[in-house]
Amino acid sequence: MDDLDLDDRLRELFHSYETPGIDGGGPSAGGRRRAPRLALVGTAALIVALGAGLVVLHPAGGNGGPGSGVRDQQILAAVKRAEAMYFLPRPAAGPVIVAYAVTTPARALAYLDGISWSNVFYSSADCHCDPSKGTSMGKVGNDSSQMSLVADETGTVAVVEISGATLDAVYPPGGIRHIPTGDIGQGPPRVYAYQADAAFLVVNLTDGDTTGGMVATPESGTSFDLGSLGAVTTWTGPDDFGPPPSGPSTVTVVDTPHFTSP
Amino acid sequence: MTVPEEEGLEAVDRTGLVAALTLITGDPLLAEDAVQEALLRAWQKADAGDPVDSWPAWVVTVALNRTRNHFRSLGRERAALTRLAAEVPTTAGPSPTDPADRAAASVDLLRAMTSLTRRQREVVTLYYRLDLPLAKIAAALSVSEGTVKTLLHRARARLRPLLEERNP
Repeated sequence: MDDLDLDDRLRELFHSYETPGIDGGGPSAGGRRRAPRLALVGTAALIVALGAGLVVLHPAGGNGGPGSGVRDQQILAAVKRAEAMYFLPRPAAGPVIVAYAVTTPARALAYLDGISWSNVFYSSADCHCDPSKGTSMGKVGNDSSQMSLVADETGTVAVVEISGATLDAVYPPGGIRHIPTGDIGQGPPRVYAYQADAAFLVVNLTDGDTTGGMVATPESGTSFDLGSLGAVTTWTGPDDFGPPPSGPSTVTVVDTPHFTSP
Repeated sequence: MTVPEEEGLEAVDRTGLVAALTLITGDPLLAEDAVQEALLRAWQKADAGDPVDSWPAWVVTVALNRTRNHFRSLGRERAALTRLAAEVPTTAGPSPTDPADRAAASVDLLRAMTSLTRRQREVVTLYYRLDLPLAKIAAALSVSEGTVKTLLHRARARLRPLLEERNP
């Protein structure tokens, strides 16, 4: 066997090796446990949930085509779980429209990367600003949501858009971070959440968990087409999670030069 | 976030890297954990706007360092490789494409890896499994290209009998 032949055979041998018990590759390694965070990765879903519970499906909004009714119900159930955790019913200026498209993590990530964000909230920790806008980075916490999207190449993800509401409508006041403008000449600090007209939230489709998720607001004037990801499902309707609070919505703003947890 | 098309994070072969690190360490869970951690750090670095010439090479380096920190004893790695080889079914099949035959080949490969030094395992795996060029392997391991060639030559010499046994 000459060296070139040896090279070819070694390359073939190394490439034929598959990791036991991981990523579905290769023979089982006797039931060895996957890392817990990867179990989460396997079922991660990206969903924005808001308001309403009464769902009005598009005629063709099957998220996977005919026969996927069970899947629709699973997604809807996850959305409702997410709403129960995060949505505080609040008076809205107009009807709230929620739309989502089911896609793959890779396409979802590409889609989200293509949108200019005015701000991004990692619900599991702190927030940071969009680097492309030149704003300084805040403390980046556990951004496992991005990792989930990257690591899971085969899972199902729903990218969801909400319209006609501010971010404080989908996020508890305690969860809204205050972002200072930085320059004195720019006026008082602003709460970007009030400027939101659309947002995205990461939710584990299986259990509705959003602790590894993301709430993000596209930059004002940003154009994006959820339909580019596939069939879009939308709904509007009354809230499904109890009466709105009697008093006005309030968000506690803390004037601080740092990104801090509430 | 902006990353070059060719060498961006999307170019990282995560599955291949996990397999490669498993071949080096003998521990698939450690390999997966190291890759996951390296990717997480890569995202944070990318978000911070830090420039990186090649994300795949950067991730390989960080993941390798992670496994080195974990495994301070070469003996532990050899033991892990041997243990992993024992866990893979060994029923030989009639054709090279048969899954059972691939499993047998994996056993042979894992056993052969125990005869290599850590550095030799790293070089031979990065070269044959991840198809990294010599220059990038040298950069990832912080050694000269000449050292990589030497390590590769010695590793090949040790692995040659394995292939000659399988394909006389």
